[in-house]
Amino acid sequence: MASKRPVSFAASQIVKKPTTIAFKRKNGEIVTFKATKAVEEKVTVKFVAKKKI
Amino acid sequence: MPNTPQTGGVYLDANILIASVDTTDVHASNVHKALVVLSRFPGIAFFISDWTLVEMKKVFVREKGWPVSRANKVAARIRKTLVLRGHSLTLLPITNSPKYEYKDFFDSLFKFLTIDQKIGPRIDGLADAIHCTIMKNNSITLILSVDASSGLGLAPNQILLEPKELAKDY
Repeated sequence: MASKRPVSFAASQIVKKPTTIAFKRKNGEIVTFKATKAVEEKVTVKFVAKKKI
Repeated sequence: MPNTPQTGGVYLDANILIASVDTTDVHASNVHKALVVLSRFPGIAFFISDWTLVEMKKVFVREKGWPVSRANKVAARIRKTLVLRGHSLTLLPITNSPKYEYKDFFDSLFKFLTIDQKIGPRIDGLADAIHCTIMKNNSITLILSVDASSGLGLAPNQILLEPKELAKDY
């Protein structure tokens, strides 16, 4: 006989997030552009494990 | 948080080289404009690696049907002249560290490609993991690529710039 019980643990994954990036022109003016930045995020993974009893 | 102006290098993905060489490529116009826009900013340099050239050759031969000899010739010319449509390039080594060994390279790839406990691989694809490793080893965080929609793999803190966004400033 098996019973199901939820199990969770911490993990990390790389997530891409929108960002802006700035460059400086020769005349000193700052110009920005939309970009995508990868960040490492801690996540909690939950799944149901079967345990034999 | 203030957005500090970028200086330093921009790593060019293989598709940037492809769109620069093959002017019939769908991204050619935006890539040309993006390179011009970036080159106007002081302190910005363009970087490639041998892996970029390998990927470029693969696409020319397998996807665009070029003869191998033609693809080789183009890659050899870029590698020798280090010029792409008038823009100077710098060829990056895998690393500048004299203590770096093959083991370190494969450890890095393994780290990026390892499936992280039920979530999936951290970077999906060996080719992207190699680019990420070369960028990381050379302390470069910016990459110019048209591959945003197809999910270009990035390592933490790496930033993807898209030609179509930069082209708006042309």
